Amino acid sequence: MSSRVTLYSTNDEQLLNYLNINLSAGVYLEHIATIDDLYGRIDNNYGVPDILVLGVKVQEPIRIAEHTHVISKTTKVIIFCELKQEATIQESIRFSPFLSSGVSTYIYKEQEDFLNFLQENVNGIEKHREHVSTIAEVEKDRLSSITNQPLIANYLDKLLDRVPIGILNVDAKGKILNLNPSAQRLLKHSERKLVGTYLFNLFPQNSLLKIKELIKEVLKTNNLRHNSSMVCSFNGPTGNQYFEMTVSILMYTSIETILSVIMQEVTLKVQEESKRLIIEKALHQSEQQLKLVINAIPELIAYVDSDLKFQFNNKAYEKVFGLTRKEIIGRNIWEVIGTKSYNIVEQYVARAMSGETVTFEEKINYPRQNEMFIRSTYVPNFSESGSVSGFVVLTSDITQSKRDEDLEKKHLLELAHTSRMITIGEMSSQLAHELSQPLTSIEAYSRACITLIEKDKTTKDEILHALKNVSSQAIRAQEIMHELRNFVKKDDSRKNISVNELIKSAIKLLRLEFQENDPDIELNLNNNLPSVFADRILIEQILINLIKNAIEAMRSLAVPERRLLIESCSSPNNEVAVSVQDSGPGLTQYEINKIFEPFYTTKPEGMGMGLAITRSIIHSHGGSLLVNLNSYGGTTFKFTLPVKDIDFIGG
Amino acid sequence: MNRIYIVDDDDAVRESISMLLRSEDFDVVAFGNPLDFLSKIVSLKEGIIILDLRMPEISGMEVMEELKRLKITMPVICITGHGDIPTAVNALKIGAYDFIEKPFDSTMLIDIVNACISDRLNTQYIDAFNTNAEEVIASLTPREHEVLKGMVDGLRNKQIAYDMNISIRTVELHRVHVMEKLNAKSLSDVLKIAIASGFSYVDIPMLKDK
Repeated sequence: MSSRVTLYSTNDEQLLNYLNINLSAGVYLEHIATIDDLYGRIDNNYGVPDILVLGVKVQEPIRIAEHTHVISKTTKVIIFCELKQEATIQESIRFSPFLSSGVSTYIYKEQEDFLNFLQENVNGIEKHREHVSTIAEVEKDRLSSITNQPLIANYLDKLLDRVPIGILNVDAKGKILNLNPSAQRLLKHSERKLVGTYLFNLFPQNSLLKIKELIKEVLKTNNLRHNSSMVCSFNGPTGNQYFEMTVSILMYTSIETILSVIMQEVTLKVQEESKRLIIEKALHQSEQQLKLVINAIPELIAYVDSDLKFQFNNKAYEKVFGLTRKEIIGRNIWEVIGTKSYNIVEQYVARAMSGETVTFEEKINYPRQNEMFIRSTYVPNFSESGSVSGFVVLTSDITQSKRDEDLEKKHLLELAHTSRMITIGEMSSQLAHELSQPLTSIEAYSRACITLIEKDKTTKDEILHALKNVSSQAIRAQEIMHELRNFVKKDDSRKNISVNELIKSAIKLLRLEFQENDPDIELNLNNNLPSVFADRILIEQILINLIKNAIEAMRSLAVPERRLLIESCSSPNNEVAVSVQDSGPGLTQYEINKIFEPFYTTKPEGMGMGLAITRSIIHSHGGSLLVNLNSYGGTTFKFTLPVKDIDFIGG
Repeated sequence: MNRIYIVDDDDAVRESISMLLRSEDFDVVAFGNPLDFLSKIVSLKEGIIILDLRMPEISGMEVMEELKRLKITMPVICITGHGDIPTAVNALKIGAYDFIEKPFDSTMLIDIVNACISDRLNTQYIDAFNTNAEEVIASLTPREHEVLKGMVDGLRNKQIAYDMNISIRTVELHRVHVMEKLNAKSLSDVLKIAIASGFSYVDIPMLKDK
């Protein structure tokens, strides 16, 4: 039986020839060029060498030796090495759990020396073979029965070769004993470079200490099942890389403990994590700022979900209701604002939940609060599917501004009333004259009737005629009084009224004041106008004012040149427009600019309040008042009134 | 039978006064249109004219001027608006017999009409009135003169009090004294005497212009 000596990666033809010639007979010497060729033989149990010589260029001699020994325990492995490597490789051999004593190192000196070394090993093998030849026969059967075992080990081994996880075995001091291809790839060095070096020395200072600590910690546990992990950075050629290192005790003997280190690259994960942290931090920061702002706003801000439960609220909300955030979040609207208030806002909640942005003003009575006016906006929040998933509540307390507004309205009304009273003062003598006619005739008729009846020289018809006239004159007096009362009556309620009716009644009231040479008023009224929402007394007063101004302005003109035209028409934006036009003498640009200013007047006895009040009244109705020069050379005052009440913007 | 002409554009007033005066047995002819009246006046027989000063087409004052131009000497009783003293004074100056403020009491109108008829029968009274006027006016104190001036100007007691810087109560007192001294029963009497005395203290721009 011959011994098979296989040289891997030692393609030195001269050495081969020399050995072939000088080795004892029966030694089969061969050279294998590739690792696959070698593993093929070993794995297939065909041509398994008795002695495997690994050349100095072989990159993973220890792993090849281990691989060989897993399958063929008896193969002697000779690893060529250089002097400086020998000690570390020997140490690895010593601590490898897979290697038996059949692995040795050799430092090549010359052909003869190697021949002798090889011959010694061949002799040893042959002697050993003689000793065990008889046992071998028996062993052979037993071994064949367990051929499956190395196969499984082989699979595991291959698995280790291919897994993307780096696996290293180190001693208690952290010196690398062996490692798989992934570990070499991760650490960017070959097995030869790495074996015998300290694992932590491959890492930068900050990781170095951590790895030392980790090893120390695992050793302290003295427990095979324990493992500890950490992430450490590594200065790779493409920048920082991160590894997750899991350390556990592989085995321990009385002399030494061996640790296994599993290394996984987590660079991407770490980078993403740090990115996430940065984003999270920025998010947190902006959230904090937003929170600060929202809490600083005196308006009430909240978010209500589709179950009508609060999900968010700001500080102002807590303050108004005297509740903590915990007492608001997750509660239904009515539990927080009270059922009484909820009954008021329920309709708007329903509209917001149907997807409409609603703004409203209401008088409301929150629990533990005085009655207040609020202006609220509900903005629905749509989910991706398009349904309403809740709405944002923005509420402000407008009690004060409402109060101011009411005061202003009241003030305006009082002003108008005062102005009306002044006009009445001016009109009183006219009214006396107007009333004196019917009163005089009533008195005269009555007296005549009495006299005639006393003298008994009348007819029934004559008395009847007189009494009928008395009656109609009394009615005439009543009408005059009624007009006066309507004119004075303070009425702050706005109603739907016809502008044309107002124009006619204003002219009727003014008739008392007309002088002999005042022009007739020409009317150009659109009869299909919608009614406007306004205070009839105030608008009537405005018309009287404008007509009076026009008449007074024209007093300086010759009588035939005086013209006064009142027009009504519809205007865009759902408004009705009324214009009062005179034929002169018109206004200068300066006067046009000044005309609405309080206390500006061109009349010797005027207060200068009329147009200022007129403008305020029109504005309070949501309309506008403009002044222009017209084609007759005079002035046109034009005001608009909205067809509908404009109580709330967007309401 | 005494003829009375009524010139008033207001139907109700005209008709009622007509009926009133007819019931008192006057012979009444009424005109709703003053121009119509003027066009017929020369052919009309003597009577008393009751004329509304405030009419739209042609004012009562213009009617009076036209009458003067036509040398019509019939007495004219003017109807004026309440408190329109300047117009009343002007009418008296032009030659109106008297004026009456609307609204008026029918008794007052009848009294004036009757007084007018009796005055026309007794011309001596008028002369006596005219000669006495200046004398009576001269007997007034300076304060009473001022109050009279205010009354002729058509001012109210309140305004007179303000202008003279005295209390209303004092003005009222002065006013009573003036009425007593002038032997006047009404404001129209006061005005008639003041006009008769020559207007020397009447400070009405409208009158001075004319």
